[in-house]
Amino acid sequence: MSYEKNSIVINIGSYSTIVGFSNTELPSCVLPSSYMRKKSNNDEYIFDKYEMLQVASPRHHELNSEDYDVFTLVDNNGLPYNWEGIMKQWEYIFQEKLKCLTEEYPLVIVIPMISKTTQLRIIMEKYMELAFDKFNFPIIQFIIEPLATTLSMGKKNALIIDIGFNGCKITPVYDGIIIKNGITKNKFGGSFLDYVVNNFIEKKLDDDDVEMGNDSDESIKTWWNSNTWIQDFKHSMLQVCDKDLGELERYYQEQETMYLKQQEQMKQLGGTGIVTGAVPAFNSNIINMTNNPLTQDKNYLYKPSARTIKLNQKEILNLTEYLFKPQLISAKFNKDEGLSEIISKSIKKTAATLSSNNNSTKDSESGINENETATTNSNSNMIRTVGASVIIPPKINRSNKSDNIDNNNNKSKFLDDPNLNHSMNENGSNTTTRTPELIYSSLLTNVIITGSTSLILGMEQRIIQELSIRFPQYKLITFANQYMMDRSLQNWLSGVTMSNLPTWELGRWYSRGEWTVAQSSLT
Amino acid sequence: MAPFKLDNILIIYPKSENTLVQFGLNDETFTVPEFEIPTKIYKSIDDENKYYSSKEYRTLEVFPIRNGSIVNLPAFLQFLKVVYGSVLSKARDDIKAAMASETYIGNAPDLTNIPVMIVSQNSWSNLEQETITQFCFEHLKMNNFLFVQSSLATTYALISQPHSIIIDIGANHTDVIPIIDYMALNHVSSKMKFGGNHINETLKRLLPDFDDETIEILKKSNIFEVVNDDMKKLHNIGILGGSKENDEDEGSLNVVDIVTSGRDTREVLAEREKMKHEKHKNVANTDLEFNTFWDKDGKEITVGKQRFQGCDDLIIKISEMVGFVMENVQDQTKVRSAWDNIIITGATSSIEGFKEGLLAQLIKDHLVIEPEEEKNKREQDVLDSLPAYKRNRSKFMDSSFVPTMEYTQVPSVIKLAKYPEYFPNWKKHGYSEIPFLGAQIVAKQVFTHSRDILYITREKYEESGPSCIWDIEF
Repeated sequence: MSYEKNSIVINIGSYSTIVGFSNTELPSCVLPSSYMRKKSNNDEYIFDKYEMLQVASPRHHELNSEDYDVFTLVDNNGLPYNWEGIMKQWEYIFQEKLKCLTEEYPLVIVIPMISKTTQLRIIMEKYMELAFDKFNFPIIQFIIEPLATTLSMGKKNALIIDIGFNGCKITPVYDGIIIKNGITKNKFGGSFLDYVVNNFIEKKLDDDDVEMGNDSDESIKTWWNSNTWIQDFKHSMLQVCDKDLGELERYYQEQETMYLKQQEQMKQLGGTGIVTGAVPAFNSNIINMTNNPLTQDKNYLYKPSARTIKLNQKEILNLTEYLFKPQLISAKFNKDEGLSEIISKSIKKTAATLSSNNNSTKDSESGINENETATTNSNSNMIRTVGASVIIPPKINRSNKSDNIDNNNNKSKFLDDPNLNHSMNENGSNTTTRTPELIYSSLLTNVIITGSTSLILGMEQRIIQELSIRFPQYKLITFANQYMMDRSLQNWLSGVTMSNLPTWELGRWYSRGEWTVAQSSLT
Repeated sequence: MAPFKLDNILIIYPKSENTLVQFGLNDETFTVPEFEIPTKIYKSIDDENKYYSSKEYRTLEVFPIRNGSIVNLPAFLQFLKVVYGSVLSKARDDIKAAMASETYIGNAPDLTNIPVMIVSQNSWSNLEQETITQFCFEHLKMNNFLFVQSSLATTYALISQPHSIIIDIGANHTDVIPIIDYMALNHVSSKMKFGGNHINETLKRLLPDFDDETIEILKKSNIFEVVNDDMKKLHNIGILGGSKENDEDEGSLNVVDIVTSGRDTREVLAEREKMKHEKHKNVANTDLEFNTFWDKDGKEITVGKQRFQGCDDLIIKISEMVGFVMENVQDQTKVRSAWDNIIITGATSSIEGFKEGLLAQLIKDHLVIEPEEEKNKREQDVLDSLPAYKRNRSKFMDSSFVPTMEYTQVPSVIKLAKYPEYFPNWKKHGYSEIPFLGAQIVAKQVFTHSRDILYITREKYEESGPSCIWDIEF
């Protein structure tokens, strides 16, 4: 049966909150995942990015930045924590932006992958409380970002490389299931680059004895910088070196010494008077050829104080090189946290997990999820899904009781999920042969690159280069949306695709009725 | 379905104060809108659901649109009904009158199949647009219908590139909307709480002795202009098209203009002579320390240079906002060409010098060029490094021997979009209502197309309901 449904889709990302209807191609609004609140009046909030920018602007306005504080909605892992703020933000969105009655629309929330089931349950319950009790939504569905991205591209296997604001997250998806053991992440993303760029330019300006920016409140100043000139710098100047920068440098150095040697030889030859005449022309050639592209200058106009800053190509490439080699910026960062390291670690761990499961439990019908939980020894420690939408994980008591007992104790209706067995069987049915080679190749031919920070010039090429060094015998295919806007909206767009599936049964929807019953049975 | 006749196309452009309406498009050229009616309706105090088109006993005046947004949807729907009904009855009367006259030949126009286009604003929510669609099909019995967003209509009027920046200045709001790949990016656009009325506030500060009414008269008078130092500088280097007065107009004769204007050539020439004469007699407003205007009682009032400063604050605010908005569009090549194509609309934009003033401010705030201080220093350095005998000579050379600084940032060029020259009616009327011209162009294309793919037909509506408007992304 097919339904005509139009849902509201919300994605609270680590940088921006994207909201819109599932029957349109573009979101209705994009707000920062942060807001300002007036110090003197705790009820005065600003959610609109441009109003926030006007407050933070050093230009004289009616609004003064010293009167406000900046707050975030999500923590450093990109998970929502400021529920009070989220509630206020949603009020603003539904009243001012969407102008709709929330009780008339299904709600779809696109959430990041949360490995810890207890944490996932808490967050889902918080969202339900908000959606059902505060905003009266009739039904709600939770969609996991990486799974939605994979399935909405018509794939069942993928390696998602999401380079976002708070860091990079690598999520392997195999046979339509997220392989939890294979998830790796680091904290080097857009926000880290903001810090690197800010320090770099500050140092450059220091050399020139120029004062930086304005003296307003620290949190607002940081926010202002990263949303104005740093953003401009990232969009227009930043570039990723297509191979290891250190290697490239050595290569050019070698070339230079080689040419210098040649030049010397020519001089000696010239000195003997054998090839007079031809020498000057040849010399100028040498100069051109030894011209190291890394030393080429670029100009950056630092708008806050109208100064031109000269940077050479090496300095620019070096800024993004930290994403791959964080140890270069500070000894306290481990080299294993570099982007290419966590990508290959993810692939290897996925292959190891899947193939060991394969060997140990041939008789198991229900596939990876069950196997994975067998290793962690608790059935409750897995993320169960229908399509891309999450089934709320059971509540765990401190004592290690089995699920069923737990279930009965809490009388929580969310645990009895009729879809569960069915979906798992389906997902795990074709898992007979899983050699590591097969897993490697199905991940490497489905590398999806997403996240706003992945838009930096040269990022895709570099990832290809790094992967081809580490997995030389495999074919590599990467997918990165070439429409920059679509890539920065990708999580939301995937959520839209998943909420437009032809039948309701292809996702797990929770109704307000279920919620109230579960709530009342608890009390 | 067969394409529609141009005579039958109805275009409605509702704005905060007035609504522009036209029934029937001209075959050859696009004319300025036929009707301009106040966007208001009267609501009965006693009956919630009763509305009147004019003031009656015990009614309240309701303005359904404020600052471009719909603030009272039921009232707006009733307003649409009044507009649609009046257009239909007027058309019917016209036909009757025509049929009655003996000179009438041809068939009676068909009033049952009128395609309707409504020019919408980017702040209209999805639900509002769906409700309007539903009302049009189910209540007003329209059979063919289309929304076109005013920002997009504007770009169509200018037959411009796929990327542009729309700055739409209303009375109390200003919308900054980036258009990328022919799509209005509503989710990154901004609605500022300042518009034309902000000028009145500024003027009130500058001229505290004037009352509100006098200030409004001054704002609308022809001595109120935007003039500032940045503009003068740009005029001098030729970015704003040479010195202020249109020198070229004086010498050369635009034959095309005369022909398309449809007026007698001799008459036009005589007028030109007269204008030339007057120009020499009168000194330009900008060259006068003081100038005068008349208030509502016909009293002459003298005002100083404040008459050039009223828009400064608004212009600064808008320019800053344009910078904020454009920083949120990632694709630098597209952003670059959008900066090449800035479109300023709204009544405020017709103030003499306003567009140029805003352009000058945008250039000052956002153009990525070498700061003057640095450039001068660099030139001096080059000069100093020259041997003494060359130095003197160099003083007379222009500074072009110093290579220009190259930046990779955008924008490296900031330009206003070029306005169309080939619609003489509109050229005379001015371009502050240019979304309407765009709507005419779109309506003509869409409704006379041999296939009904770009608008909502009754079949499409019956099939999927009001949300079918989202399947037709124009």
